[in-house]
Amino acid sequence: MIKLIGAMMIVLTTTLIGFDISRQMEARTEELRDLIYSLQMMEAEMNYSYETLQSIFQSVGEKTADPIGLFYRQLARKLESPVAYFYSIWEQNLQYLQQTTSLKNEEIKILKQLGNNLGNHPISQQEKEITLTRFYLQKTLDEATEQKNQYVKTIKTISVLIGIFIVLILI
Amino acid sequence: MQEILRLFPPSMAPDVFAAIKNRFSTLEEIRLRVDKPIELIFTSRSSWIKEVIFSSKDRDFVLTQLSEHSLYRLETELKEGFITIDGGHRVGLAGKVHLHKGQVAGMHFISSFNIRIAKQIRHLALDLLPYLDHGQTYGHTLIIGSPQAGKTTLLRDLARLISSGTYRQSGKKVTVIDERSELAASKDGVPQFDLGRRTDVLDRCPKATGMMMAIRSLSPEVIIVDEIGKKEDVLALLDVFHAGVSIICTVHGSSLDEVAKRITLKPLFLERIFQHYIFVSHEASIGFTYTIYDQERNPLRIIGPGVSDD
Repeated sequence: MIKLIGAMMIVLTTTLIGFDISRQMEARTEELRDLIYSLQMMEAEMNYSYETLQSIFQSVGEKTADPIGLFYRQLARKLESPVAYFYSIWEQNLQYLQQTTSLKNEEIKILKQLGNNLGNHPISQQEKEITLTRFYLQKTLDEATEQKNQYVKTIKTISVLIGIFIVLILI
Repeated sequence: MQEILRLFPPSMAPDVFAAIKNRFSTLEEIRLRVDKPIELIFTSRSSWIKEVIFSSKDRDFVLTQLSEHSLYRLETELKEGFITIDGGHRVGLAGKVHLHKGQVAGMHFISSFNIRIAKQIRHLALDLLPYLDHGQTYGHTLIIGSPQAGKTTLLRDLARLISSGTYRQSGKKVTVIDERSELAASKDGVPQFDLGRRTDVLDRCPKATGMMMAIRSLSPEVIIVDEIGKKEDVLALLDVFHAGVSIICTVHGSSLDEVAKRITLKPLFLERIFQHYIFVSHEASIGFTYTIYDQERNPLRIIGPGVSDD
């Protein structure tokens, strides 16, 4: 009886691990998509409303799903009081973003690059920077989506099988 | 003062603060030039902050602070060469101007900033107002003075007094056409200075168009404009003078006769439209002095702290 319970727990654990990995993959594509949309919104706001970064972050943050939305709203809150160096708070918040989301180093790096240029250029240049960032993010999204489509099912199946395999070895 | 100090890099702000100390009330300008020390201009003298050299990195810092980390917003400001910040202070810019089809399209590589400290001196115009009073209305008035003489400060207080009302007259509906965002120092359309209770401000509006817009839709009793000088302004003024609205405006000049000789302004004098002329001068040790002229340009009276009140 105890053996049976142990075996079930092992299978359950590996299955859960597999599901978690695939969930992360799915979350990453979702987050990347939100990120790209949010940048699109940001660009439009810069172009038409000529608002400050602070208010653009606020409105983009309200229209974007969390955790990406939260990232923008937090930035907006920090910018409410005078900030000496924008890049330092951008970097700080990116760190937090990386900890709380499934985003990988790759896209965080792209966003860091953007932070260096955000708000430092006239509008035409600014647009180019954002478009470039979106282009890079789109590429990572495409890769991530492909990966997800390829592996999510396999990972789920394999995780169950690995569990059964471990049980078989132990018996 | 905080709104100005925040423009400086954290390493520089304490030095600037120490140099200004308690002299903020007499501070008129802070001038920043790349690779030069910072210059402070007070009412009576100017001094340098020699400890700090304003580097091009500091320039970038000031620029991001001015734009609130949003340089893309400053397209029009860079075209016009100044930015209005919180508190109504104006920052003038100099740098490499680039042109598009012969028109100034913007500025690159900013090399100098001139932070002009804006002040509101309440009751500055109180002694002057009775001379412009025509019972139920105010007379058309031209204020003349050289740059920094205090024309704008005077005009600001006139707007405030006329629209809020004094013991002699109830408040009038005032429209201020603030083409250079200097009189009201509006931020996002809302005046930062107290221009009185019955004042409407057309911010950044060209004067000629603005006067027409005001008459059409805002039904003002008094229109206040700063710095006329262009041909269109004069044409628009000639039109508006007969619309039953009092006009109060300013013009650059070192004396009334000199202004009367300027070609663009000549029509205004030929028609003898203005009923009052006020010449403003400002000397650090004395303060503001006003010379009031009548319609025929004869001096009527001089008001100022250096003049005895008889």
